[in-house]
Amino acid sequence: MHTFIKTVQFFILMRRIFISGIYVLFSIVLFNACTTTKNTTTSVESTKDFREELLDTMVFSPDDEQTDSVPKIYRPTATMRYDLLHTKLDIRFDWVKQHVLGKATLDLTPYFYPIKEISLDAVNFDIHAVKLMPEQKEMVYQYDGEKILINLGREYKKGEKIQIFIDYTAKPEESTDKEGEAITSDKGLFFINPEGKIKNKPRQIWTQGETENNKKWFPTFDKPNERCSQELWITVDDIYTTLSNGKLMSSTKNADGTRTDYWKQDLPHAPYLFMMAVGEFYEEKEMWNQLPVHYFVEKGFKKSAKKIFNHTPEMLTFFSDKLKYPYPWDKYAQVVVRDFVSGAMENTTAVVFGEFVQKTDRELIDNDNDYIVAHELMHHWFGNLVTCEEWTNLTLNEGFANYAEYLWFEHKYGKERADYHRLTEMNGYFSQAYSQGAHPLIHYYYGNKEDMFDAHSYNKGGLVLHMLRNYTGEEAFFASLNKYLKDNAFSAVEVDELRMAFEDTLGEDLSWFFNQWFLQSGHPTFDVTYVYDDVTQSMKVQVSQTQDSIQYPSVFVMPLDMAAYYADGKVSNHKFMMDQRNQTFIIEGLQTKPEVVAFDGRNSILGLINETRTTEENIALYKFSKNFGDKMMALSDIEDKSVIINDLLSEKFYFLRAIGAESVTEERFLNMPESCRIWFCLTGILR
Amino acid sequence: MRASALQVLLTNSEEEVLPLLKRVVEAEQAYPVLGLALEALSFYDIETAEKYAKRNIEDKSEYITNSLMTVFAATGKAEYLSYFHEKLQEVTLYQLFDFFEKYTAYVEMLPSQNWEEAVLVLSNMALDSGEDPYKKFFCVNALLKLKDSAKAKEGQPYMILAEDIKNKLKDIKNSETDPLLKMRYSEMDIE
Repeated sequence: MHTFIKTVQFFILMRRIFISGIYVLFSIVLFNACTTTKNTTTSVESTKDFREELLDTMVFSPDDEQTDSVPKIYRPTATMRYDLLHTKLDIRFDWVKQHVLGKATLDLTPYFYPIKEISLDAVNFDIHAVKLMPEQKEMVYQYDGEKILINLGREYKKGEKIQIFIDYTAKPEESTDKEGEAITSDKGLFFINPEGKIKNKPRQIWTQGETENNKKWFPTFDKPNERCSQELWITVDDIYTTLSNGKLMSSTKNADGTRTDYWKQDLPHAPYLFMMAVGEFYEEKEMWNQLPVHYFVEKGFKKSAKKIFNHTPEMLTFFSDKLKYPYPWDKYAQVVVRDFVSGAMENTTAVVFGEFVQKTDRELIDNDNDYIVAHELMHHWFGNLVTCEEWTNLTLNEGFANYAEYLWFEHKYGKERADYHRLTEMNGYFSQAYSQGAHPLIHYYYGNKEDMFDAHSYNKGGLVLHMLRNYTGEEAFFASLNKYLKDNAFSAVEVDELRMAFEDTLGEDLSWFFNQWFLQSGHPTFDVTYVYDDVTQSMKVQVSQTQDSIQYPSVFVMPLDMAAYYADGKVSNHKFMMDQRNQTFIIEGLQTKPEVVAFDGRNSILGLINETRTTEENIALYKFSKNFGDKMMALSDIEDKSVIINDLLSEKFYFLRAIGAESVTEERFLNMPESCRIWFCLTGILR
Repeated sequence: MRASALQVLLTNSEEEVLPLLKRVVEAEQAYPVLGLALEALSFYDIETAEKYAKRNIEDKSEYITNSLMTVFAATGKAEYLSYFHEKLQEVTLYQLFDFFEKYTAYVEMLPSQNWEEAVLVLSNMALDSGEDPYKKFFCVNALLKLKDSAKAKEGQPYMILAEDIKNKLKDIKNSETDPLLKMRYSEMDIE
């Protein structure tokens, strides 16, 4: 308990990032009927900078349905009886009825075993015709509202091509769940202000496929282990712009005032990544390495379009270089839509963002979108090029995308900025682990696939990759990732493929790492004490792992890199391998007693660390350690910051300087006239 | 960072702070700095703060709204009630706490006839079945607060107001269909 309280105190210091989700906060307020607003006002303040860090389709469940109330069911990867090779869609819309009028032509082939029938996902369709092409033979089929079971008329063997044509009307707005309740967020395709009746709101259509919702607007095999190329003809009134995956091949004006845009993506990707957006957008164009990079925003944000998606070309270069794997797709577009059901979605070459990223230049001064732009871009390698084969392995998409934020911050703004971000991520993970319980990163027993979009798949996934990078070293880490991408490009993966890429690169077994971090729950808690022996000039470090040994591994095998800091500013690093629950390490051959020792000398461990330090030791840690996490930990325990104020105000990283400034304010505040103090407190100007 | 630095400078004497604040509100682009300066200026020189706040009144950014509301509330002038009501329509979930705290404090400063307008707007929103439940909940809380404030004030108009708010709260409570809100309302002391 002590560890947790100390951790909370530490994060309170980082008050801008303490709350893990605004929905959690509001739920608490409404459900607990806290009608006094004074205390909670501070909480709302603290969420302001953090609220937009809810990325992708991250879900905050009000309770943990997945652990207790739902029986544990193993979630297998979908069986592939056939392989979808190519999808052609010809799409029109009935805005008033909110229907999709579609014609789909699907090319497929038996996966291995011969087949006589195929089952396609297609939810809430009216099916007008199913034909075998090219002979246009009417097919016998059964449709239960969710799947079309088509009798092929004969047996097809592996290698034989089958082409199916389906004429249909999709009714995503009329979708209901199993209880008959209207589905609001999983409709797959959304009409926004379809009749144009809402003032100041644009008419738009956009799609959101992840997890398995694109089957609500076209027939497909809607599983992440499938992938196919695509062509899409979208017919809309000529005033609208369209966007889809791949290249815009042609745009043809029709006699009836409509226009048909033809989009084509040659490289295969998973069905959940198919997308479409229709609206009156302003389109800003750039080029990167001969590839189009386009930004679509509402016309009122024309001036800020580039800045909203700031650094996109630079990020394309950065990630291509870092991974030594050039951006693999044929364009990169980003679009902002209204009422998006998620933060952003990494549809291949056509990323959709919620309107919260749409800001004016002035708003962007203090609230840029770097983190989310980096996140979605990284998915174009991890998620779109190499895709998790089932949502159980979602962290192979989201963990990397989250870690991309760290990598970008480190590259662009320095390690301290990246480490600040790492602490927010760690806070998010701990919040969930302690409030809702922990589950393995690779979670074969989830309750609902949507539950996988949580602070484990995202935050913990990224934090574990950071540890792996620290263990392997920079060069080996990125060489392994390069191998993983090359070996698995355009295919579906599970975590073993990542492990094997690392093992093949390093020539070293890494099961111990992957088993404990990916396949088991939780994180370690370390209680650490230091005893210096003047006679032997050695430091005895006693470490106990005190995490719950029933739910979590009783022993986390941990490579340790302790740092000893000396009065002259020097530092010595000491590596150990911890493989027991209680273990003592001796740091020998010390010339003099260190001012302070840091157990996690590289600030890379995902875990709780209890180190009892005196104020002097905390001051030494703040002054001598270069690690942002160490500095923050020390600052949380240094009550009187006047002794380090000059150092704080000289810090390179703004966040630390701001802490310095705030401590000056607090000190001076006490000397202000009482009338000023009261007023400033009431208004919240000085907090 | 500059907002934190400005906070430090706010602890200086009025003679030092005032010229600085005037310079900041004249030219500052970053909302956190501008907002802090406007709010602080309203403490030292409300007229100047009001002048600069009005200059930004058309700025729709949520990043400055809160500071503008602080300044307008500090003027105690009823002419800004419509600004608050316009913002009430636009206020997002993230801003609800700040907004309602400022809004109720502002209304309490106004003459009783302005309260009537505020009570009508709040109760209409609370009765609107298509409105966001969080916003409705905050409207009801604000009405409760205004009712208690009216009760504590002297004079016939405030007594009538308190009774009117009580009746409106009963209507809201009786007509609400959302189970969660119904439960919350049942725990409230409307009398």
